[in-house]
Amino acid sequence: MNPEYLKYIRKEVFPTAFCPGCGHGILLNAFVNALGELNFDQDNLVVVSGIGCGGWIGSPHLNVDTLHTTHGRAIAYATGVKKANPDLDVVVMSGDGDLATIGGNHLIHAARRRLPITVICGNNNIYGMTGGQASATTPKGANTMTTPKGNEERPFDMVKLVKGAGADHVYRYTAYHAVKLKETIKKALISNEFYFIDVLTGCPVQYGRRNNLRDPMKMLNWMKDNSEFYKNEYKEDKIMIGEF
Amino acid sequence: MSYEVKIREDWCKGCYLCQNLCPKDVFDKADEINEKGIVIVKAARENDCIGCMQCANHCPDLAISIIEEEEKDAS
Repeated sequence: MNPEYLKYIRKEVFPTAFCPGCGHGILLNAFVNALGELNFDQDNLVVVSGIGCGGWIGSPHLNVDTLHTTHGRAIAYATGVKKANPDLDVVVMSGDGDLATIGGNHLIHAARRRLPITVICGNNNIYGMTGGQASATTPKGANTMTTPKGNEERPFDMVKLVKGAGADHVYRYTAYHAVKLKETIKKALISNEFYFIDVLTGCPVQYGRRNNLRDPMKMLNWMKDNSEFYKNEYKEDKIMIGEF
Repeated sequence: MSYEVKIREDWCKGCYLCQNLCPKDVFDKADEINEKGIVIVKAARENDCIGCMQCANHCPDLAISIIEEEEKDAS
């Protein structure tokens, strides 16, 4: 972290509430770096988050106006903020349990309306804070607390969901691709259109320990080995990353 | 070009992502534990740092700063 960028974080709440090696921290790092490199006006930025580990990325760590809302309703609150004061830059930064599972309806309708906000989903494939229950993005066959014999259901593909709902700017990166993620966040922050960034953050503690990925570096290497940049062909057995 | 590797000891949680990602093997586990009882990392071979920023960009606790130092004049 460049010492000049420390003005964008609330130093008094650090160290973060995340577990060691949490991918949400890497997303926070990329977001602060993006703000710093743009020299972004922190008085004009509102970061809205929901409940869960993902809700803790923006609030309380970022030294901007943060809004910590009810479970799943982050985009609903962000819609109100944007409509009340269209001059504000509004970013929704929350988890997959919040945006895909409980607030899935708000997400697809924000995409349908092409609401001029940025939605960043810290997707760790699980409900981390409440003890590791399966969410709508838990991969098929993955072990969680509520699916001890492997998840029987197929997961939501967040990129296809938002793309299908009518969004123009849809991206996916993993915590391993932190630099590409930072560049995409910069692009989204200066734009006045609907941007959706699905960030595969990974949860070494709740997801990893039940799926043989307990070591944070093992989790990052798994993301690196299984991801592939999207070039016209969408492969179902890979984590497709890039712009869609 | 030389770089200073600064680690905030009270923010580090000891996930060792930096140690594993560093291409020049700059980091080592520290000999002592910090006040929270965590074995943190230390920049054992700071002179080897090439400033690639892999550690600083991936640190989940924002604990690492890489500061570029001006080359000292030989005179």
